Amino acid sequence: MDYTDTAEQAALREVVRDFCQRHAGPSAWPRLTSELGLAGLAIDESHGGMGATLAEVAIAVEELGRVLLPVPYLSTALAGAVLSVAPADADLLPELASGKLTAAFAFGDSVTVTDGHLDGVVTHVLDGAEAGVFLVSAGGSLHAVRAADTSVTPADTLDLTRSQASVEFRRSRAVDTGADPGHAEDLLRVLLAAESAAAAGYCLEVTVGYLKTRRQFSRPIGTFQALRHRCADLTVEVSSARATACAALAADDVSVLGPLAKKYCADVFWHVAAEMIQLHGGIGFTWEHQAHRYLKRAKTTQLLHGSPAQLRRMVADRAGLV
Amino acid sequence: MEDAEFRQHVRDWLENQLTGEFASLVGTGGPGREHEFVTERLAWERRLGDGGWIGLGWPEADGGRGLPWRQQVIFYEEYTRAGAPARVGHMGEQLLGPTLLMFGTQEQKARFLPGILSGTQMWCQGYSEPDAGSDLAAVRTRAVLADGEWHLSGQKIWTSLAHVADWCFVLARTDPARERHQGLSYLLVPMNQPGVEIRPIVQLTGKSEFNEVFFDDARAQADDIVGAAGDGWRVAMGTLGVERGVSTFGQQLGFRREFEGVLAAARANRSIDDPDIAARITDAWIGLQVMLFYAEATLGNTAGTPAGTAPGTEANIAKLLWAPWHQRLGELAADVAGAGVTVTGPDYALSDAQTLFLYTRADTIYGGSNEIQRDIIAERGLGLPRG
Amino acid sequence: MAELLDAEVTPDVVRAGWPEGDPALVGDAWRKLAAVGVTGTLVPEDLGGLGLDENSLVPMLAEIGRSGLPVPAAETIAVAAPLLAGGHLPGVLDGDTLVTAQLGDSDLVPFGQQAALVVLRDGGALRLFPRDALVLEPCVTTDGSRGTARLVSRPEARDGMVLTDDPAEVDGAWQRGVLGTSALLIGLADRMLTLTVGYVGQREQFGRPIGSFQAIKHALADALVGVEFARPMLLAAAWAQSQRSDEATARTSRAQTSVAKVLASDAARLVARTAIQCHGAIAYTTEYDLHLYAKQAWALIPAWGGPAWHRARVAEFLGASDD
Repeated sequence: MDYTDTAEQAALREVVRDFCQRHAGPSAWPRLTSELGLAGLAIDESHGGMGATLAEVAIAVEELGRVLLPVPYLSTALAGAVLSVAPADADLLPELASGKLTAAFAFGDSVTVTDGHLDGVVTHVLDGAEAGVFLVSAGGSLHAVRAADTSVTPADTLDLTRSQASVEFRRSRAVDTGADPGHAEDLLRVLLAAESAAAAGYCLEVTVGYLKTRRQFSRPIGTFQALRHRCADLTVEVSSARATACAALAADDVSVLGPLAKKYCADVFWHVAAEMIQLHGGIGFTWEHQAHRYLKRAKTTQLLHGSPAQLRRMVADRAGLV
Repeated sequence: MEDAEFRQHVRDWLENQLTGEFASLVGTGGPGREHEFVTERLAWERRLGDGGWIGLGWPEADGGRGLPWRQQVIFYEEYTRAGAPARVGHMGEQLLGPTLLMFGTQEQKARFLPGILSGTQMWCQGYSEPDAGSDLAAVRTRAVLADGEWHLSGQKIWTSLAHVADWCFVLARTDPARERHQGLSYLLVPMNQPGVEIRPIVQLTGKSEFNEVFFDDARAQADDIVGAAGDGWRVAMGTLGVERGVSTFGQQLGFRREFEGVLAAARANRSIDDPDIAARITDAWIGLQVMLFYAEATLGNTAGTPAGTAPGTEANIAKLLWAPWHQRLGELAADVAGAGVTVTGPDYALSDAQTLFLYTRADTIYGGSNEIQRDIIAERGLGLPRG
Repeated sequence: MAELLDAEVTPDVVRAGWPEGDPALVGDAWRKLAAVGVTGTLVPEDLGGLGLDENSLVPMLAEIGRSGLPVPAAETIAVAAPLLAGGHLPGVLDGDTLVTAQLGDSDLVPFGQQAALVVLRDGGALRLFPRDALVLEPCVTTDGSRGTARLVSRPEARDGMVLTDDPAEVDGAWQRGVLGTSALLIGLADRMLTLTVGYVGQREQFGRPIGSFQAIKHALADALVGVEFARPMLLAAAWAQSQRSDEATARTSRAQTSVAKVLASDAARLVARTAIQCHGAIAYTTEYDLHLYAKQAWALIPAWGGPAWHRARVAEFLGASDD
């Protein structure tokens, strides 16, 4: 099904998919981290991790993304990956690997650093409500700040499967990790791209399944050419989104591919989720049906860490087009 | 030979050959430009044949070089990079040849493959008819076996390069008692005979690349049938999905060239300062990357497909990616050119932007229309039921 | 009018406008239209016209667009005729004297190869030039029936006759040109849609008319929606133009006219693409009529300001109206 799974990766995917079928809700987190050790996938073994790479993190992100498991996996696992190669001390790594500590990234220009202390406010911090540590962009570097040293205001989110928070730093003690925040945000975009492509694939599967069984006008509605063709178009989008996310994951330099993949895959996810509702007809509009949760995750993903228009400009700029 | 060495070898050969009489062929031919330098490009085919560059992936036992698909891709990339002229022998190399490899007798392979490999025999495809476009099974051209010969009567349409072809592979109805996909046969018909008449079709670019071919008691030898009588549909479909993968890369490079042309034009006349144009240019570039990623991701699935197995839907998806992309690029090229795009050169000579704009109208129609591609993906890829 | 056009302007007459055709066929059809007053739609009755206002422009020019008659309909009927008086007017009204216009920055004059008179903008005035006062170089055009000529150099002002130097009148003429062209585009879209619906109703594949396939039906439905969406905007723009009385109302009508041009252009573009797609390969030939109309549409889209330009004008208008 996926373009680049090795045998081991395929095995990992199966394990995570199976897990997701048996566990739901935020309470899945302790099991996810202690039983499967997924939070530490990209953390080296000497620090309690699994010694794998971002590619393996992406597999877990994809599988969790398919079911919108409401846990702060993406940010936490990425934090482990980023800090594993960062110049500074590795204090946080064992805590992140065990899952006892979750993380969230705060990018942008709104935070300043003076003598190892941060000041400023960042809004829309994904996975921010429950985070125990923030990785914050300030002064051109990524700084680690414990949540206890900040003021966190959780937001009421449209997407109930992923938290956001406003985080205020007031002379907050910070450790400079030495990691490049621009690069970290591009890696976040790559993971969001992978997650979006996978979730879009899930939406398409559900939709096609529905079209095969739902009957109207004395026949399965999947026999109507207009609907078949729309599904075919969605297949083209999902397939190309998957290939794009894979390419971004395999790239050494993600400064162009990160924004490109995130824009493309988030746009596809949005479109597929919207079509999912449309092709389900009335029930697609209900709270009870899962479609709306994907729509909301898709729109949130589309608008954070670069809107489509912003990312398009970024790609144009970084690729030297304009 | 290692890939890097092979690439250099191809590059060197092309550089040496695209000189003298062939130097003026750089960048010529291709979709929208099939009328250019036909005689010279026929000579180029022979040069390619002499150099052993045709049938790279064919088994060595059949006269090919048995190269792995990676190196076939390298060849296509370097070929496009060098701006070498669009091929006129592609019907033979990419359709008839592989068909013979899959379904032909030893004798047929011995008779016809060498001509393709040497670039000395040209082929055209006799499939579509006025009443059999998307619905190819509605084919009506008749072939009757009498006195050791097939006698053909009927009409084919949209036949590219019919006027330079020596032979035509024709899908004809040989059993009038059977309907649609049944009762069809795959015949090999020589073009230079009294019973074959070719009439050019003028397309909206003002040029003619397609023809009507009329068979009026045209003849083919009894043995010049690939597969058994009545097996024509299976034989004709056998190759349609399989080959696409490798030549896609050359096509991608061609697209990149065209994109760069549009980008350069937008910079030159500053239309890129318009945010709408800039956005569309960026989207076009993104689309180019996505198509390349998709081709890379799926190449193994198409190039390695064993003969006779039903192809997956990768080729169908790929067409639904590139055809609309290419059309949008054509529209963008026209908009970048602005009002100037309404004016041509003398005798309706078209600029690159105009050719791109007008020619791409056909992309979503030929080689399986968008609607047919969607039907195939829906049915074969997604398992959605037929109406 | 529709019947007259259907009878007089056959596809052969449209083809006659192309380089290899007989231009007399086009001229004859135009004169027949002139005979029923079409050319004088906006010309006051006492000068020999019909004395109608901008509201009549849309249905009139949409019909002409639908016929595909290759003449400078918008330039003559909407722009020039209402500004002429005495002298040239009778010839223009009769359809004997062809007048065209280029009020923008472009040096391309539509129908500049045939027109006897050309209206150009010169600073704040509109001037009428006879063709021998101009250096015009014929162009070969994608729409072969458009007869475009390139103005090699700007003429001397004194060689032309001032039609008006009143800014409001100049602006009004510009707006009428844009609206007239938009109406032609809607008419061409109608023609292409009708052709296509007719074709898919009888072309059979897979044992049934291809129009019975839902994909085709939906594609045509989407194309029709685009046209129907544009139509009311053209009528609204015409109404706004007819109500112009001061700078504020003129600014509003200008913005609405821009919207009309954008919508008509987008609709025509979608219809052309859909028509070609639904016809399949045959639409790609010059033997079949469709390309005649598609090319006219493609030429009119960038004329009198392309979609991007007009969108920018609308954006400006929206920004300005906020203060």
